[in-house]
Amino acid sequence: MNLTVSNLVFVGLVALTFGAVLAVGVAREAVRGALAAALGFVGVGLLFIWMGADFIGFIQLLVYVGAVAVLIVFVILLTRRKDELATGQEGRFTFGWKRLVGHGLPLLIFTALAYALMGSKALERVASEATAIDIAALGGAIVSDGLLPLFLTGILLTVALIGGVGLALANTGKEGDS
Amino acid sequence: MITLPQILLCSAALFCLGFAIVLLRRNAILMLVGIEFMLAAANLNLVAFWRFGEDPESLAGPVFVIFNIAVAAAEAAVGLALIILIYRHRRTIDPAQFNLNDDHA
Repeated sequence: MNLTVSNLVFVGLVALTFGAVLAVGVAREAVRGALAAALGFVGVGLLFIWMGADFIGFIQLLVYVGAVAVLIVFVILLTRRKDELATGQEGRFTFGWKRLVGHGLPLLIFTALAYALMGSKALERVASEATAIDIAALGGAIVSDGLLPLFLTGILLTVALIGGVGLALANTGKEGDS
Repeated sequence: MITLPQILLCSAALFCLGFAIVLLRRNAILMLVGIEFMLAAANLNLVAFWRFGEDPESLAGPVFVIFNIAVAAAEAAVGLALIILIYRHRRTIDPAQFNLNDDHA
């Protein structure tokens, strides 16, 4: 692998993403894990942009960093108790016989995938010249081939919205203003 | 030049790290974060196959990624609402202590 600027940027982005995901795994407090997760989402979005999919990268940044990460931080703040700061440390990426499956299964899957990837001849392709997504063509593809999925996504988002409100309202009558 | 197998290897590692978070963390919120990272790894694969594919005019991969992100956002919203609801009943977000068969903890 020669050291061009593009390659260095890729390696840097991958290091940023993996560092952030590992920080989610080892974080002592859930809030730090959530902030590390936001950094990981930024890394993935920048990887999309590095690959030439600018539009998808910006969507990733908007949806994940702007909405999902903030939502996660809010939920952590809403569900935090002082005595849980201690118990929340359980299940970090520490080693122990009990956690053998938790470490072994992902490692096994990664080994299998890496073995398959290294042995594959079909994947030796050259990057196409397309450097960026044509957004107009992307919109056209969504409203032509992806019309049914678009409608279904709209229904899904509506159902999720109503479901979220329903869950938030559930049992409020029984428990009073808790 | 970065080749396709290198990107796929990175996304496989990202998927497995997310899977390890889901299996190991005993915090339902961070488990949800792990699931989000697994989905992000799948999205990286889809974009990589679009970038390295023979036909860059075919936008099936990027379209799939956009729908994927929308579904993941809905899943995160409902999942976090469920976590808050369980927390109100059980006063914990440790999945090992969710016992949904009891009426009241």
